[in-house]
Amino acid sequence: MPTQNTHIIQSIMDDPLFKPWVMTEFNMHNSYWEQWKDNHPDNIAELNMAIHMLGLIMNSTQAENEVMWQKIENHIVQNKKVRILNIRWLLMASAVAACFLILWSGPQWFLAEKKIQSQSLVLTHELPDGSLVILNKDSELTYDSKEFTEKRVLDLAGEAYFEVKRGSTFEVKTTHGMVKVLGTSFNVFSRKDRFEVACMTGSVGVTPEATQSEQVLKPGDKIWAPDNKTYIVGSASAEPLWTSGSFYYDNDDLTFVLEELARQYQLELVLRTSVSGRKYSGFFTASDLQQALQSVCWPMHLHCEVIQSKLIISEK
Amino acid sequence: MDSWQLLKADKQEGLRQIYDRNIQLMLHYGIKIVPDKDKVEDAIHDLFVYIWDKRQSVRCTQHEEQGYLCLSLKRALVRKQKNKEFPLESVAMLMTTDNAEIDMIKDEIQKIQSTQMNSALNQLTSRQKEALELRYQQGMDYEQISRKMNMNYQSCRNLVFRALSELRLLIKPTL
Repeated sequence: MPTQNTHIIQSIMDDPLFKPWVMTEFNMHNSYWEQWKDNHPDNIAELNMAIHMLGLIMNSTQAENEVMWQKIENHIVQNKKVRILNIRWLLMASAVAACFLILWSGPQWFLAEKKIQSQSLVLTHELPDGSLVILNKDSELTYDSKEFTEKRVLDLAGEAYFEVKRGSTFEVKTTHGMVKVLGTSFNVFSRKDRFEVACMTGSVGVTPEATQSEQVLKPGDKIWAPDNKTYIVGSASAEPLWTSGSFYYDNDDLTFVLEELARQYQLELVLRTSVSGRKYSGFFTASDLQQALQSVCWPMHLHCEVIQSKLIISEK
Repeated sequence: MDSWQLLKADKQEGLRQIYDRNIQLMLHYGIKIVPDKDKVEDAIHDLFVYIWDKRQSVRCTQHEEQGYLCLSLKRALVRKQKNKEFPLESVAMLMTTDNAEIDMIKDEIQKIQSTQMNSALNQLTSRQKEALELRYQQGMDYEQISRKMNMNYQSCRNLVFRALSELRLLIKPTL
């Protein structure tokens, strides 16, 4: 029965110990699979087929192609808006003429406003001046695409890493404060009650909303407020690790870590126990949910489960 | 209606179909010309955006699309290599059909297709491939995949099951 065979193959491939075994050239969990072979002498062909299939799937590039398409689609959708305006040009000529007076005088030309939302993806975006932004999941970037090369100002909600081309002042505005640079690379985090800026190269001027005084960061510096009130400068990692999908924490609020974990896997965080005041040191990656949960919950003696799109944390 | 007609009718779906049918081929072909994946991806991006912008004037059919796309990609890459940057308008002249050159490219396309394109995985539908990748390459569970692919839990499991059983037949029809 071919259907029966496929069921066996699927159950092998769904076994959490299968991929690690194959990917480590059959080293990890080998005794488990030797045992499996002994117990299922009639299913060796299915096991071999599963190994073959995993090899094919690991080399597939469908997901990458999908990301490329998303970028094309984003580009097209933005162009579309402009096109609709062109078609209606004649009909709206008089209205547009009137609008021009207002638009030219006002600096915020609504059509030139470009909004980039990353939602469930990490997006790399090139700004009109050639600077690069890597936008973390669930973040939003807004700027005036017409004026940008003249006046480099943008709004950020969430987290982003910037590599700024040398030139005039480059400003990032957030609800928590403002970051001002000339040409450098730096990371900005601005969510809920937390504001953090880390400087990788060049120098960065940061003006937190709360203090209104500018602090200048040198490469390797990071500014943050451990108690969410007073800002201090400390050392940052050499590069923002989240851009490569790793999240490192050193004695950081557990709530904050769990929030980031939930965001990376697009889950809703449900805390069935209070974790406030508890600190976490360690890391997780954005590529393996089970492993990520293990590396955060296990050392903190927490019980976690994923039900539907909820990440439920409770005491062990 | 074929994809190019859909495209002319301002349907984005048409462009998507053309992309899905040719992206693998274009990546392989592009990398042969310029062995730099980022550059090839950039050029493909620009090309598809260009095709969308000029959808009313692009003359191409499904039958000749492979040669057309590969030739345009080749010219874009060569030009980019020479000038570093090239204005998008200059792609206009890239999109003219040159039959002699297309014939030359066709041989190469055939070679790529016989090796890469006919691999078992590429004979699955793109949704089947996507589901397999999400499940086994990226390690998502069925719950996450069903949310990502916008379908319910059971149809998601079924999709993976069907994909596996088709893949199995494609690899070894006799098993």
